[in-house]
Amino acid sequence: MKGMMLLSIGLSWLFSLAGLVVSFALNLQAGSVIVLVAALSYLAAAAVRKLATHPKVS
Amino acid sequence: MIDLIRNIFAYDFMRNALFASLLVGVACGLIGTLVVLNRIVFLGGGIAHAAYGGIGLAYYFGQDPMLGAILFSVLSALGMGVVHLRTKARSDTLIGVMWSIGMATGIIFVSLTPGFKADLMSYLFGSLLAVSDTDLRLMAFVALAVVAFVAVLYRSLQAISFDETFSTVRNLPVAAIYLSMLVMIGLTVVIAMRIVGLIMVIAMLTIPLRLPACFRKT
Repeated sequence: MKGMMLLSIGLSWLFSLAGLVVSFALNLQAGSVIVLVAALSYLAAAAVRKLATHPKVS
Repeated sequence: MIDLIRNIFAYDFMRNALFASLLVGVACGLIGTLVVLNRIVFLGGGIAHAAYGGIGLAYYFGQDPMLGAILFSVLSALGMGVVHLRTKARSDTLIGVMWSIGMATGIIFVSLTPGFKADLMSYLFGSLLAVSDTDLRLMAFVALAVVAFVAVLYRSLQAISFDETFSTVRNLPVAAIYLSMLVMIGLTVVIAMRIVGLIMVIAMLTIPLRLPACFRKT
């Protein structure tokens, strides 16, 4: 559980920093961009896992 | 890239926004682990929305909205916790009921308040770029309180999160620990919600926890 907590804090910080930089660069609302960065990262990770566990059969 | 980041955080409001989101990250990272492990994300949302009732009532009676929100969130957390402990199967219905009652009460009382009308939606989305030094101090206090809570009760929280039955057999005060965890969730959600908005709080409670699971084998 300790590892999960530390990893979670680290990822939160990463999403926040990335979201703030993107929101500043694109002149968008900061909170919404942070949420989008986090959600898109999760969807990307889920897609990578799906592709890795179910490789395309030719 | 480093120069870009340095330029961005040369502004006071951006620095405050960064510190606020880092503090929310600490509080939500710790509390979110408990929320996800205990599968009570819906309950977290329920507590936060029930707090809107407190905000509306506080506006109506001319009190500090934060005080109303905290009071309502603690009471609703305890209420939902007690029902969850007694009737495990149907607690989701009660959460839905408390959720809607809180929002409806908040909107009604804000509309009944004469004069300045508070924008309840500002509590939903927050205002990260308008974080004041007082907000930062409040968030730092909450983050410290969460760290202390988890540090003191770490083993007990771990036990009830992974095996509630085993914890009961080992004579741990499961109900008291569970209820104190819910109160802590309520306080964190309500105070973080005021600063960064409910949507970001719920995202920070769940996404950083679920993302690493995509790369775990078991």
